Formats: sequence, structure tokens, C-alpha cells
Amino acid sequence: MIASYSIKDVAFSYSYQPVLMINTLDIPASSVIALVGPNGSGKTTLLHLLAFLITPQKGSFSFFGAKVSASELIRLRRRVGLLPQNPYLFKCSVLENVAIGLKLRGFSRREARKMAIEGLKKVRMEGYESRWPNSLSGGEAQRIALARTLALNPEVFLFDEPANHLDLESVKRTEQLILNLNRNKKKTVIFTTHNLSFAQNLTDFVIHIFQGQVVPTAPYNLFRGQIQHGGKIFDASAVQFDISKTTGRGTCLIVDPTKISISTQEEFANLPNAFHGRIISLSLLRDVVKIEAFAGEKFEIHAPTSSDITSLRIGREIWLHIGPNAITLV
Amino acid sequence: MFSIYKVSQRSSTLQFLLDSFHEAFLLLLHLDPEVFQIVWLSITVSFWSTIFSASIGIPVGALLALKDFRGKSILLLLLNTTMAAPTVVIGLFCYVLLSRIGPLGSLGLLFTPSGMVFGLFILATPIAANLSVAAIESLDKRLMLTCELLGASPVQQFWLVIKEARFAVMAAVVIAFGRIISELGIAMMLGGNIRGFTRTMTTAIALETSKGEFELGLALGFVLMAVALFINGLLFLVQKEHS
Amino acid sequence: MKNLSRFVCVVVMLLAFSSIGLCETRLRMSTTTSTENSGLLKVLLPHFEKENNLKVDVISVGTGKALKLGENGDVDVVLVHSRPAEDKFVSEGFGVGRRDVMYNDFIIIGPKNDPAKIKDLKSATAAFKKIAEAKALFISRGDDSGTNMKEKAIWKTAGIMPKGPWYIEAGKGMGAVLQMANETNAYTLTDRATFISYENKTDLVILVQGDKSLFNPYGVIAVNPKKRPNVQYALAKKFIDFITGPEGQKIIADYKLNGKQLFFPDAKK
Repeated sequence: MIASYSIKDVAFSYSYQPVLMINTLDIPASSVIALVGPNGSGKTTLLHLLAFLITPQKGSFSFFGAKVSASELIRLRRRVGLLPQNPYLFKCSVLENVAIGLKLRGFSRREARKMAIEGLKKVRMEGYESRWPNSLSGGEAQRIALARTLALNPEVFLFDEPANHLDLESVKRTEQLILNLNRNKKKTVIFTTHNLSFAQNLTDFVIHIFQGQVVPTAPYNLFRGQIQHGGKIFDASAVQFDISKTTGRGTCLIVDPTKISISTQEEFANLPNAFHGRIISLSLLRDVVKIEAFAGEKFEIHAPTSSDITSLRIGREIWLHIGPNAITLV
Repeated sequence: MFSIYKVSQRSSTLQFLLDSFHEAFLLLLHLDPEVFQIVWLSITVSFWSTIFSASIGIPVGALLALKDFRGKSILLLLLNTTMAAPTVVIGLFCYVLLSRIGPLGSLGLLFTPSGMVFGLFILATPIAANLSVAAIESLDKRLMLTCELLGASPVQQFWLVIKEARFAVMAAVVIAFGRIISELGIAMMLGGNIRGFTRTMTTAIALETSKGEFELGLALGFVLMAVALFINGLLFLVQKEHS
Repeated sequence: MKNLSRFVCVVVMLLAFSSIGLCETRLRMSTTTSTENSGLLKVLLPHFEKENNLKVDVISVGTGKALKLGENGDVDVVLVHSRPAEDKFVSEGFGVGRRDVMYNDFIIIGPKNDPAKIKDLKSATAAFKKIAEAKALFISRGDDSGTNMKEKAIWKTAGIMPKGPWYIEAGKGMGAVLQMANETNAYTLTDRATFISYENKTDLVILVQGDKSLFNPYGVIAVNPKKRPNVQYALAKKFIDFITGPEGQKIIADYKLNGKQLFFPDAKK
């Protein structure tokens, strides 16, 4: 198996705050890979690393067997095609926009235009050649940017959130496109998503990213929601966490399973972050127990197996307490 | 023989104003060759000064906007200050440079159109640079990333960014041109207001006004406004086409 | 967009061609605003330019600045009217071969109602004293020009240090000062030539004239090539010979504005 990318002990940080720390990551050539993780987990940063837009501060990083060096960055960038989540179109005609990357690669004006027209055909945007970006709808602009990436015909395609904000029809079409690039053209395709089903339909394997690190599976007890009430309450629709003791801002919250106390008797009544519900389902995982409970709305939590799990039964009432130091905002 | 008393010919202030306007239009209609020569010199000198200051100011502005280096904010502060410098100060500074006993005296530029171009270039380059910095800094933050991910080399990126800011940069050039063509102090000090050689619209207006010949001053004032209107109109059309 | 760029190209080419033809022999002369404003040079210079196939660039500034330009070697010849300053210029070695050219005279002008009662006084000094006593508005050039130097000299003879709200130092050329005086009904000292050319535009009248101390001689001086080697001494010498020669002197004598002779040639052979 040829690895398109091979990463070992790589770290990248913006001013002392580590953003990425990857022990090992090998991406086989001609594979389809999804990068999955919550917002702010470092997916996009990893994608930028793979697009050679940033260079790791340490570790070894190679592309198709050749070590990535700072002097080669521009040449390497021209071998991959990154489609950002919110792409920018230049203030010139659609055709010029699609041709721009080709011109930068030294294609003549005529060749570049010819290839750009091909690219527009692939996203079914023929007839838009002389339009300007400010006359395009958001979806049209997205497709022009896709055509720009496709026209470059790179060895590796990197898509940032390609299924984001798309209707079902477009999601299907994007899936088809990715499959086509991979099956028919043997291209490596790497994309980020937080739509796990989209990821699983397409991919050879899914890489979970959490807090800048590659983790074997998705992290436990990830709650998505918003900070409300003057930044003290984290509202995750099913449950509300009092986060007055934690700092930082975020739209996701993670609860450390080992710091959850469970009881089947009425307990923790006056403590913050105490929950009361009825167990709906129970499943024993490798190191934790997954409890689904109903407390006005259904919620799910992973608790340590060290608790007195023998007393847990479906249908029983349950009291949970989450210690303030168990909560991390991301 | 010497005692002369002239009855005021102005029946009213309004009449005086109307007469001045009337005379001014007559002068323009007759295409007086001297007026034409003055207008043409003004345009030529302004044109070249603008070209030179734009070709230095825009790249410098782009570099300042794109690169981070130590002392950048001080440089920007200095640039802003020079933009506010009175033109007579710039004129005086250039006079000292260009005078025969000055360091550039041997070039013989003082009191020539080239000398004026030099001074006006010094005046307008900071303007072009400053406005280019503003133009480029107001570009979409995603632009730089897009240039990079498309595989642009630093040089290609530099030109792509300037190209992307072209409408705002064009406005900068037009503003620089406007400042140059309406400038008096430098044109007077470095050109010398030599009749038929370095007399521009502004120096001629100053001279004619000092002589009390308001008509010619007004006529040239109209031409100056017309030129400014024409250039700004061109810019307006170009910007309108793509917005 | 294409048409526009074509248009810009044409303009560029036109401008490029128009800047050719600027390289011909040019003699530089700094002179006072009064000489330039009188219109004499417009008549005088074309004769000289035609005969010698060159252009004379006239930079008209105050006498002080005109001499300074000569000192710096920025001009080849100066034509000014302030004898003490001219002598200093020559004695310091910046100028050579000073020649008298012509003269006109200064006059004291003021509003018709003459609040300081100076009309028909025979002495400029006496007139200045009365203006100061009456604290009547007086506008001074205040620009170190020949006229300004003359004015200061008269104040000095009168033993007065002009000061106060009635004494205004304009820092402007003669024309501008005449306008200011006209607008504010003030007195001022002017050369006759400038006043005659402004006569139609002003309500001010001549109040004192004919005093010998108001005599205003013009001199022409070449810039010393030993001090400033870049100057065109031969051309400057030619110009001096022309303006003090019979042809130049005749043009000066014949030049009239509003039917009045402005300058009186007095070059000594």
C-alpha cells in the first residue's frame, strides 16, 4: 500500500497553544477518508496541514514518500486541491475564477480557459462563464469553487465540510462526485464533516479528531449546545449544565466519564449539575457503561463501569452528579 | 498728470460676479492658446507624477499591507504623517534637494516640468501607498488563503492581491491625481510659474488672482473642476460596471 | 473595459510625445513680481528670444528671493530693484557686472477720503509720519521684496517702528496687497507700474508722489560663474547687453499701459 500522506509525531501550534498533536497518521493513496470531530477540534487545521498551507513545528511529514520541506511548499500545494468550507471567489468572471489556478500553474490563457470550461461542465454550470460572483447565489458560488478545484485535477482532493448547509439532493450529488473521483480516477479524497452518516456512506475509514488529536473513536459524553444566562448555563436541549466554575467559550461540552457519580437513591439534591431521570436503555462498552435516560427529554451519558452498575436496571430511577472539574468546553 | 481717480465700475457685487463668470466662459470658448498650453502642461505634469507615484506607492502599500515586520506600525505612522504634510513643506524640502547647491542640483531639475513631477511624486507617493494599504487591508480575509491554496507563489500572490483590490486602488490613484492637479505650493516652488514653460492651472490662478484678473483665474478654475470631474467620472463608470 | 484601456494607451502616447521638445536653450532669470505683472517682459523678451533662438524662463518672486535664487545658482541672471541688496549680492561675489536698466517710482496710495491727510505732501517720510500718527490702516508687503525694503527704509528715516493693529504685514505680492488695500480702504506703498495696471480695478488714488526718495531703479546682474559654475554666463551677458543696449532701452521707453509710460530707461553707456 502506498501512503499519500504519512505523519509521525507532528505538532502544530498557533503561539504556544497546541492546535494539532498527531502521533501517527497514514493515509493510503486512492482512499476516501473522513475527518470527524466537533467544531474547534482541529479538523480544518489538519486539512490545512494536508494542503501544505501550514507546516508542522516538529515531527516528520511526508507526501507520497517524499519528506515535506518548507522550500517545496508551493510545488506541493499545486499537487493537491483544497475546497474550503466557505470559498472565496475573485472579482472577475466565473470563467476567469475557474481558470485562475491553472494560470498560476503556468498553463497558457487558452489551455486554462479550455480546462476551465471542462470544470464548469462537471458541476453543470455551463453558460455562467461571463457572470460575476456578485450575481451568483450562495449555492452557485459553491459550485463554481468546486469547479475551480476539479479543473486543477490534483492528486489529492481536500474538501472542508462538503455536505454542510446542503439539501439532500446536493448531498447525494456530492457523494456521487466523491465516489467518482475515487473509483474512476483513483484520487485520494479527504473531507471533514460532522455528519457521521455522510462519512460512513463513503469512506474507507473515518478519523476522529478531538482536541487536536487523532482518537480511536468518537469521544464520550459530547454535548452540543449553547452558553446562556450570562455565560453560566450550558443549554444542550436535553440537559442544562451549570458551568460557572469552568472557563473558556465553546459550543460543545465534554464530560469526563470517570468523574460522574451515579446513584439509584435520591441523592445530590442541592448540588449543581445533578440530574434525575429514568433509565431507558443500558449498554456495556469497553470501559464505560452507556446509559440512556429520560428526564423530560431523552439524554445519553457514558458513566464509569466502576460505579455500582449491578443495581442499574431499565425502568429504574437514577440520580447523576457531575463534578465541576469533569466538564471541558470545546 | 499722475492724479487719477477711477469711479468704481461695479454697479453691484452680483454684477461683478456675473461679469467674471461671463468673461471666464468667453476665454474658454475662444480657446486661447496660452490657456490651452497651461491646461495641457497641468495635465501632462499631473499625469506623469500620478504614474510614477502609483507605480511606487501601490507596490509599497501592498507590501506594507501584506508583510509583517518590526517597525511596521511606525512606518505606517510616518506615512500617515507625510500624507498630512503641507505642500509648501514638501516643496521647500524638494527645493533644497533640487537647488543647484543642493545634492541633486547637478540634474538641473529646478524650474522645469520634470522638477515639478519630482516634487509632486514625493507628495503623492505616500497618498498612493496609504490608500493602497487601506484598500488591501479591507479585502476579504479569505483572499490570502485562497491564493495560497490555489498554489500562488509569493510574487503571483502579490499581483493577485493588487488585482483584487483594483477598484479601490484605482480610486486611490484618482485621489492622488486630484491632489496633484489641484496642488499649488510645490508647483510654484519647483516650477517657478514660468510663463509658457512651467505655468500650471493652479499657479496661473494664483498669479491672476494676485493681479486681480479674476476672469482668467475663474476660467482655469472651471477647467480644473472639469478635468477632476472627467477623471472621477471615468472611475465612477468603471466601478459601477462591476458592483 | 477594452475600449477604456485603448483610450488610456492613446493618452499615454500623446503625453509621451508632448514631453519631447522641452530640450532647448533656456536662460533663467529671476525678477520681481512688479516687472512680470507690468507686462513689460511679455514685450521685451520675445525680441531677445528670437534674435538668439532661445527661451527666457522668468521666475517672478520678491527681490529677496530673486537674489537668493541667484546666490544658489538656480538662475543665470537677476533683474531687481533694491540697490542695497544688489550691492550686497555683488560684494559677496555672487553677482558680476551689475548695470542700471531703467527706473520707475514708488507712490503712496490710499483711500480717496484720505483720513491721515497726506495728499500732496512732498515728502514720503512726512506722509508716513502722519499715517502713523493717525493710526490709519497701512498694508505692508512684509515679504522682503524691493518695495518692502524701500518701505522699511522710509519708516527708518521717519524714526518710526511701525507696530500695532493699523500696520498689517501681508506677506503677499504687490497685486494682492493692492487688492487688500482696496478692500480695507488702507494706505500702501506701491511701484507705479503695478498700480497703473491695476488702476481699473481699484478705488484707491495716488496721494504722494515725486519725492526723490521714492525713486525706484532697476538693475540687472549676472550670476558669477566663478561662484556657481553651472550658470550660463555668456547668455546672461548677452541678455544684459540686450536690455541695456539701444534696442532693449527703446522697447522699455515705448512700453505703455493704459496710455502711460511705466518705465524710464537709464542704462549708462
